[in-house]
Amino acid sequence: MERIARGDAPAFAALFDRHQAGVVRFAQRFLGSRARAEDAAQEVFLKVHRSAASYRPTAAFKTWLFRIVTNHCLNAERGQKARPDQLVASEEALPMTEPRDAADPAGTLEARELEGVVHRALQAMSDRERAAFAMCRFDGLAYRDIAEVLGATELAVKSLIHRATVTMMKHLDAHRVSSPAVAGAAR
Amino acid sequence: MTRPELMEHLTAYIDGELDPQTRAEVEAALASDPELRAMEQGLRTTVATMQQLPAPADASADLRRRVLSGFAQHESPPWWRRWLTVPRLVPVLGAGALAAVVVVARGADERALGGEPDAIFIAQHLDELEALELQGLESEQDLDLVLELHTLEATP
Repeated sequence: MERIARGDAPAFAALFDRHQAGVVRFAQRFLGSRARAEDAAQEVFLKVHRSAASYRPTAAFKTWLFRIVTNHCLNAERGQKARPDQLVASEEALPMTEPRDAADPAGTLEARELEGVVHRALQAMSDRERAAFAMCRFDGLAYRDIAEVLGATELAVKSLIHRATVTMMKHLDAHRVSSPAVAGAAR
Repeated sequence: MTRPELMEHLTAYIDGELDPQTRAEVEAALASDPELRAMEQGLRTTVATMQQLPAPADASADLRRRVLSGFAQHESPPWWRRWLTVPRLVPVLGAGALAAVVVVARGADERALGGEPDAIFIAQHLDELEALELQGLESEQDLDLVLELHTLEATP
């Protein structure tokens, strides 16, 4: 981080390459749009550069980084809600994942349907539930680290993640009733 | 532990985030409560489904180019800006504030005394002047003369 604070471009590129996947993954799940996730990731890495001088290794770097990502995404979401006319179209809002095997169109369709259900369930959660859920389920952060990122107690995080997981379960169950194919994909 | 509390602990139980005592309580309740077991199974399937989701694609080459280009355009801050972090800023600001108070206070003293340097000198040595019961001194040279009088008197 000291090298980045001094303007060391190769050090910054190495940091970007190491952490970009986690940042984009979280932002994409949280914001629900690949384009918005990449815009957010750009802002986050430039904030990391601007804050490099004030970084102190008192917390794990990943926790510090996720605090910046989460705050940025929460603010972006509040801004988006304040401008509902600029909401992205639902098709564009669907998260993009690695393409499935082209020789298995049924599997690809199931995967797309499942992504749609997950996306809708995530949007049905509160911002803090979604943030805690995404950090836990998609980035593998422990409850203690999520509590530090959100500035909450571990007890509060436990509750947020439980409520979010129940929301996700209900959406998956409802979809399994209407589309048994997804039930097979999920099992 | 009440049933709603047990329900609330189920997700943390699946995630391995419970302390040993609470985990034992949840396991005992699961052994005797089929409804709780059904809920736990549903949550477990949900967690497993999330783990099976394909990972989002890595950042695009365009994002990498934009971020690194933004880094290059954003000049590195000057040395004093990098040095002046919050832990250092606090004492620096404190010292600055103290210096400002001293300057203002001295300015006020000078104004109160009419801004005459000799008046300030006399005020600073007022005790000596009063002890000597002298009148009519107007400058530092006058006082030096008085303070050195004893040497002149001692000279034969």
